Amino acid sequence: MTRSFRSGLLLAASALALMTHGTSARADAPGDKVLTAMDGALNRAKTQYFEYDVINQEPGKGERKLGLQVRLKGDKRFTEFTAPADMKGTKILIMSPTQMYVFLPAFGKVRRIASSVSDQGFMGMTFSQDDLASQAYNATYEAKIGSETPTEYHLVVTPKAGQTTPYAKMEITVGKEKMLPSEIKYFNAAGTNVKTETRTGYTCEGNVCVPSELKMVDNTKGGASTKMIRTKWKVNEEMSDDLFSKRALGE
Amino acid sequence: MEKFARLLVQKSIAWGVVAVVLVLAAASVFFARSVKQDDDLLAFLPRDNADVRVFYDVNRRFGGLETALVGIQTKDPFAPEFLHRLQLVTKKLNQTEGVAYGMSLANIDDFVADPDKGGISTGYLIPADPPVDEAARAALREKVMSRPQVVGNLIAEDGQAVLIYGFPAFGADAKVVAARVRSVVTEGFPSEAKYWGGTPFISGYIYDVSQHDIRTLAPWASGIILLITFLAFRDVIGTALALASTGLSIVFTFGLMGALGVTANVVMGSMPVVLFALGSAFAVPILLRYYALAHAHGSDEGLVRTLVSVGPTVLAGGVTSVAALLSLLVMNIAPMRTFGLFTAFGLLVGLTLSLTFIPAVIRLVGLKGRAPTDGVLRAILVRLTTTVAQHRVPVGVALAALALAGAYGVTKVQARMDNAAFYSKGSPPDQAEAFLRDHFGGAQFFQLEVEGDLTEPGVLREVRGLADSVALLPHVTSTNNVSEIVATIDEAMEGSARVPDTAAQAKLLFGFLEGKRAVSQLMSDDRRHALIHIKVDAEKIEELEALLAQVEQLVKARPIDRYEIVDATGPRNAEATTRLRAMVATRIAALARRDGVPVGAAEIDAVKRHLEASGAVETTGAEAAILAYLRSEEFIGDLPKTPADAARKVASSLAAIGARPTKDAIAVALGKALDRPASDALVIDLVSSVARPLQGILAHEAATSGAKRLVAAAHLTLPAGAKGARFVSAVGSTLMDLDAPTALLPVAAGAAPDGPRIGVQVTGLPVMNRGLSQSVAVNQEKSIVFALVLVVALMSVIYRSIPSGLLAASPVLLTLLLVYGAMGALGIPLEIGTSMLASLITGAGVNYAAHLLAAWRAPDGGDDPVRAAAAAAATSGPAIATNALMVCAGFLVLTRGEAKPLQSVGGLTAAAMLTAALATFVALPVLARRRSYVTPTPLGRIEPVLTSSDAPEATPDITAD
Repeated sequence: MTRSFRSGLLLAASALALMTHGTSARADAPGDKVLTAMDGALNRAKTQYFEYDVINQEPGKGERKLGLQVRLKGDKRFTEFTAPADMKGTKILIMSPTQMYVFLPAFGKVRRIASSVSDQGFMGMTFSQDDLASQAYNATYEAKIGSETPTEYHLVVTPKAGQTTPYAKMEITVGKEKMLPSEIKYFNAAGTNVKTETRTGYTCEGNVCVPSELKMVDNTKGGASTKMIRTKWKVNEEMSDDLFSKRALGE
Repeated sequence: MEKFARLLVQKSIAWGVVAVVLVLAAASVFFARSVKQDDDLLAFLPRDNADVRVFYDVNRRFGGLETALVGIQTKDPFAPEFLHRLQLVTKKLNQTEGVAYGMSLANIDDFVADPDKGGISTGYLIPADPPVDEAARAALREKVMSRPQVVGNLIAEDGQAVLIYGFPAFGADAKVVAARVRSVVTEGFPSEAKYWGGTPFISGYIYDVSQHDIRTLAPWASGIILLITFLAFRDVIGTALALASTGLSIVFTFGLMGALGVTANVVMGSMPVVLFALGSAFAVPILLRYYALAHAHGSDEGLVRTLVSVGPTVLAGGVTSVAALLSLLVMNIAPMRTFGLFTAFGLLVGLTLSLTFIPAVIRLVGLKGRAPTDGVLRAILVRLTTTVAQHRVPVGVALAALALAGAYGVTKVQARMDNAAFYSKGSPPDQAEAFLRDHFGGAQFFQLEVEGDLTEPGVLREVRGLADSVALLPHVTSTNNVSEIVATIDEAMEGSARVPDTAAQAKLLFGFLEGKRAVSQLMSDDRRHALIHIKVDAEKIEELEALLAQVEQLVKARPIDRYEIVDATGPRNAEATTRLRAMVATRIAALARRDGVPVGAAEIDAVKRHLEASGAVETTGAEAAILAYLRSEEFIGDLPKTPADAARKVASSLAAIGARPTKDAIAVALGKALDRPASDALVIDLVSSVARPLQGILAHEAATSGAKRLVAAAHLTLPAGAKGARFVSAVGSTLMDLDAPTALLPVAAGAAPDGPRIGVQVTGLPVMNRGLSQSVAVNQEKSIVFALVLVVALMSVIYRSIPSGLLAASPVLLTLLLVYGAMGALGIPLEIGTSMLASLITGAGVNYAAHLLAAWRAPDGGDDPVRAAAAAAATSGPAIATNALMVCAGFLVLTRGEAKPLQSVGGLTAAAMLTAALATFVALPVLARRRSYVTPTPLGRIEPVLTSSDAPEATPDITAD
């Protein structure tokens, strides 16, 4: 329950933080260079606005849908639920990884929630906060090129020494044209491929490219999956800081 | 029969028979390999029982309740190293295929209010880096042990054990999941004592021990049977033939199951031994008869004479045995029907092989005849039957007395099913159950399923109220329901652990619970069904059944079925107030029990009196709380820079306007504090910012103050420390329900009873076991009656006489009375394993009677029943006794195993078979008055045995004197 909140806050808002800030790191090895290039391609936008249809599918159950509007600017993320009806009007403001506020319309009040948990899903989503927030890898991971085709790199990504990471290993397929990931396989310490994420249908505005669909399959939960389908996207539009204020939550 | 026999002794026909059998055997081996094991204990539940139907519906709706539980004993669960391992194991479990959710102390979320910044701080109850120094560890211990949802569920109240839960993913094989959970936990905690509980582990255990028992005991059983058979035949080929025919019947049976896609089950594990034991009853008489007749008439003629004389008896006895096994088909327990059907098929195969394959092989190998010896066994049996026949009146009276005593004992037999029916005392599941009972308040659960609109706060309060009422009953150690989850998340949002006031709020909170496996065990996806899980510490089945009866009575006496939601201040406000007060009083009593606050009738009365005395509402700490809010990060308004210290003035002013202020009153108070008119734009803006939070703060402060007054008024003695504070806080949250804007009441008198309804049903494994017990009793009666009617009917047809049919059935009836009477006297319950006993007794017992009666004939056509009994005992006795000993030995071996069902079946059947043989040798000489039961009947005639001391064609005088 509390987990729900904190996950909700971080997750729903960062739900689309697929391209905020970049992190620079020295990359000597060919694999690290590819990883650095990918980080750069993921984090070019200054502001973004997304609308997403989120579809959760658990084995043996019907689909569950969520609707999200997300605004991103720097570290700040503002998310509003548009569906389901019960959640409509719920807003989440993330000012920083530890400073979050939620406005629940039925309660008419803003609640501050500080959370320290980031490895769980939210509202049945197979994406964890870590999965959605991790858009810059080379600060904590190192990569080597496992194989290569004329159009793709296949990176094997492992944590740098001394780094604590959500996964023990990732295998990332990076398209050479845009230097963006099309598939990420996540592995646990035992070497099991626990999750597989696919990013498809990249479209670009200038040099900023984002996928039109993301899908995360949890291989340990009988194939439970979450699909995020982008229905609207605006990039680098002017966004006032007032949009990312507590007062905006209650409006 | 003679034509058939003469056909079979032709070499080409014999080769054909052997070839066909071998081809079918090869095909059977191929198909038998595909037989899968279904160890689902729920399959034993009869589907047409009302309790079972509800249970299956609940299982389907809530995605199964098969949770794997692992208890780990430790001296210090707060040791950093232990907690670290628990974190790793829990994380690994959640990344294990087939595990939907792994839960332990290590991944439980927790939140605490942030007094400085406002709102809450959330995180795992156990920090990622568990504290090392003593003071921090003590603080963590106190924090954890103050969480009622954790203590008794994830950590033992004595702090000496932790519990890990593994919820299988949809469609995952619970047994496979249990094995993976076991592997992960064992790797993480290799040296700690571990206890494996819950259905997946119990099912896995039963499957494993059954397989282990069969693997380890079958060779022993086979060896003993082999030895007894060899001692009887003193011939390797004959011994091999007897065993081969029964072995083939097992192979054919599993082959058919494989070909038809039928799965094996726990009871089916005993089928090979049953077939081995009962199937040998067909081969043994034929072989024993053949040795004697071949010695007298040569191989071919001896074989023909064997089939002509003993074949019809074997056929009649075999068909009757098959019919007895088929009587299990009248049961409404599917696995038992499967067992009955395929064991009957196996017997039919064994019977067929005895009359075709064995003679064919005898013909092909030219098995030599042998003069029968006088043998000790034969002499004992002859002595026994003649003695009985000579003293039939006193023996008959003694038998009647025994039968009457048995009949009395039968009335004492109780059908009783509980988990212990599937495992022995001291076995791992038994140890786990004891561990869970001692440390976690029990391993037994049952549930109440509530049907209603769970987005309606009134219904959620009813769910909680029902759980509270049950929590007050004896042996109930804890309850869990979705309203508690909603209350917890409401506490995170509003600061009070209670069901929210509006449906919109409830729906919103439910939104955050989507996809949570722990919640899906408490509420269906459509939010129409809730489960209240009730944990009990009852050790005895009688205690559990008494509790079930109390709960059912409580459910039956519920005041509300069809309901309406009424405005608490509307026309039915008096009823609403009464209803809300009653629920609050029950809630406080349940909270007191949960938190260890002693409450008796006097305290409860005091609580009720206090609730009825609607005293003044106090908001003692409101000013400080409002000031904290205004200075927190949750305050989204803007206070003016003047007057100085505006926040303090605003807090003071707002705290003075009462517990339930209107927006106008808030505006006036704000204007007064800020020296501005109430219509000022800044004041209006502030009103919109603070109105809802202020109402929440004032309500909470009023409730907290009220809780303290209630504790004092009712003279409640609080536990020290965080637990006592938590009780007061919980009582405060509960008191807020008195001001709920709506209440759920029965449809008003005179109104059409068509409102929404709340349905409640009691379900769970204990309910199931009760239903299964009833079903086993009914099934047992049905199968016994059916089997006896079949036996008497078949025997009557065979002997063309109803009295003779009854005579043939008399040993079976006597055996049933004695065995079941002994069960009643010894307190051995009737359960799944023992419920198949009657059919087995009937099947084997009637065989003995058929063989003894077939040889019942005084030498030289005389009328002396004593000599007839002696002849019958001498001729058929050794075969009967040999088979009884084989059956007894085969089944007795099963008692050396660990699988409880096999133990029960093994021990009782072994005893029953010996009893049946004895009953045959005693009851028939008492009751049989005809000179012969062999002609003119379809049974043919069993010629007397010639011992080695007799001349080949002489008729022996084998009476004792």
